[in-house]
Amino acid sequence: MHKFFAKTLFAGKNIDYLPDCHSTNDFLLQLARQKMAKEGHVVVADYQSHGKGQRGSSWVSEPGKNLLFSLLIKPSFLPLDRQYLLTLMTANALHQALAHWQVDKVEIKWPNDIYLNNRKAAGILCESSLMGHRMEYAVLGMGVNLNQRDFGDVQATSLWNETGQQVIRDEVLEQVLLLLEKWYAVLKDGNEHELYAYYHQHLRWKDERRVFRDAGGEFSGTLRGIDEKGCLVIEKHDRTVCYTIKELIFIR
Amino acid sequence: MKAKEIRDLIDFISNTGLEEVNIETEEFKIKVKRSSEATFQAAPAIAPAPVVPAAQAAPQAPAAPAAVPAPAPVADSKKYVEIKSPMIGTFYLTPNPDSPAFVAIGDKVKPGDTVCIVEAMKLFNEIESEVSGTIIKILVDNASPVEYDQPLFLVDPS
Repeated sequence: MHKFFAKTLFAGKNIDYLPDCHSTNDFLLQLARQKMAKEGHVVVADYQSHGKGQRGSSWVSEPGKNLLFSLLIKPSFLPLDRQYLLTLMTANALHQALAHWQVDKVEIKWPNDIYLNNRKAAGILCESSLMGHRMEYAVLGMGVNLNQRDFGDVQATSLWNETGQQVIRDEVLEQVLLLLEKWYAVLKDGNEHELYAYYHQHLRWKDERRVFRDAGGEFSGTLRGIDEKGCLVIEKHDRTVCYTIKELIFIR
Repeated sequence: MKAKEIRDLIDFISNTGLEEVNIETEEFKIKVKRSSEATFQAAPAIAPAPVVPAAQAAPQAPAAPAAVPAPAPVADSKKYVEIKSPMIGTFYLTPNPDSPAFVAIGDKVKPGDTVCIVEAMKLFNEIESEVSGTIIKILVDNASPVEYDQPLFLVDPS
């Protein structure tokens, strides 16, 4: 089964559809390592046995119901200290793609989840391979809940749950690929402010007073956005604190 | 296995002409290797637990590093090469929390072999070795922050 996406420039011109696999990121990284995949190569799976969320927390997905895929890029133009911009551009692309489905509220939750009406509907995991100071390739992996209806006790949702309509996987995939190309071009052109502006415009809880937890316990603070290193900036009492991923939990 | 037993074992091996001895049981794994300076490296047990950070010895052999009869040739470390972190981030020795480490002390690596992951802002970077040799030392604890250019591994290229 090979679908061809006519609207994209390079993304998805080569696609592997797998009934199930360990993880689409691992599969694509392996192809890249063996020089069997070019920039734009996409791997889609109906089911991932070891789909990865944030290091270890696995992504629970019913077979065939959701969109699980990875895209290979070769961002050799990107200095290593700017590479977190790949996470930013992927979040922007996924957000903008899902916004097409007319859900009331589509938000980016720092650093890399997409929320539909206050519930998680998609996640991103980017992986790359470095030798010395060169980034040879990176895979942008995404899991998007499409037609799964039941998430048990997990605070998650799907496009079907939020729109009331079943969605077609390849339509969502094409939309996401088109927007990944768009935002990748923005990154290549060096328009970082544009990446930041979109990300901040759609960042969940931005400029709201909320409860967070850090090593010192729970506190009220105001989320101000991300800094030039990708860290989250929060106004805590009368000072500004920057957090990396593991240092902060969103409470309410 | 007690520290004295390890010492006796190393003494015994040092009196033989053997270059390298690997012993593995259900409880531990020990590797004794004669280097060119005739000193010994006792590798921390890496089996059977799925993830034992190589920097810490298994509980069965708490005194293993102390059992090295001659002091390790630290002064000689200039002949070793370092694998450094190309970026600021978090250092991981394992691909996943429940997977075995990419490399352990005593392992041979060659260019292109993945030795660890450095994660920054949700981008997980597999770090590949640029050199061939044997991992002598792991300089950073699993899941700890690393700086740009910070040495991660000491490799004996000989």
